[in-house]
Amino acid sequence: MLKRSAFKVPFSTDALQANLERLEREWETYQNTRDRDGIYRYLSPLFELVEWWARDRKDIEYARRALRLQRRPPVPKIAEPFAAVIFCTADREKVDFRTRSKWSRALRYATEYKNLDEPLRDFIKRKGGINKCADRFARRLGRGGQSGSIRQNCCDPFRRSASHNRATASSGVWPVSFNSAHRLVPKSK
Amino acid sequence: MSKSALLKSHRDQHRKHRMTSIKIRVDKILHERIEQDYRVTRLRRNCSVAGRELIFAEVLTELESSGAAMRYLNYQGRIAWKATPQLRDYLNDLKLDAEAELKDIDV
Repeated sequence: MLKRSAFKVPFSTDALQANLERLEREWETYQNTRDRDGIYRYLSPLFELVEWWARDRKDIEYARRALRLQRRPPVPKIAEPFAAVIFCTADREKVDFRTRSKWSRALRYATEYKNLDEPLRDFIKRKGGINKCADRFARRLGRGGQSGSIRQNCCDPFRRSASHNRATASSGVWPVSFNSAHRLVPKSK
Repeated sequence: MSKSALLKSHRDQHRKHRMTSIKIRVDKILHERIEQDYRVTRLRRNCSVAGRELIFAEVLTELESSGAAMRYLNYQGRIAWKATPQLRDYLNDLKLDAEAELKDIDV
């Protein structure tokens, strides 16, 4: 059951640090497990974190703050929030630039197409795995893809859960399409 | 302070509050923890000047900074709060300890 109250809570640097430490622990757990799907124990909370940052439209700002908190140089300039958080929380010797980029692309693909009530693991597996999702992202949303505006879509107010869409469909109203190509994007002047 | 000025000030406060506030959705475990902290804070402040909501937000900030609470997007696409795995594990350990102690007492 959810209780409600009304006040805006600021996201402090200590809170950011606590979140990064939590992800570091998840990374350690993933490293110690032999589970085939162990990677999702790390990627799911990471996705959850950046997803709410994006909802607040502060993902880039918080990712930059996370990079600034890093004590171990050198810290490269990473513009993409998922890649930045992976850089901050995973072992740099084990996760190189290519792996980071691949995971980041897969997570951005999930940001765009995953239903809100579907677990990340189920979504990525349903789509054929991390590599396939990364490829799909590059093909459909990356540079030279069909639609490149992920920033506008990741906080999409029209994005709803699958149960909501089923309810809308059963009521006779056509559900909202998740395909970004059909979305209404405001024209830039 | 005159009555009209007081009324105006109240209205401004209300407007300000309306502009900055958002709904905070909290899960059950965290809500109990916040209620507990809230009671302690209120006692410490001796019938606090700040409202319940402000203390509620302060407690949430502290819990988030200490790694006990985290935000996430719920199935409606809104930001909600829940207990971190760390807090859940801690509470689970406490529960197991209490159960073990209870068993010892029974024996």
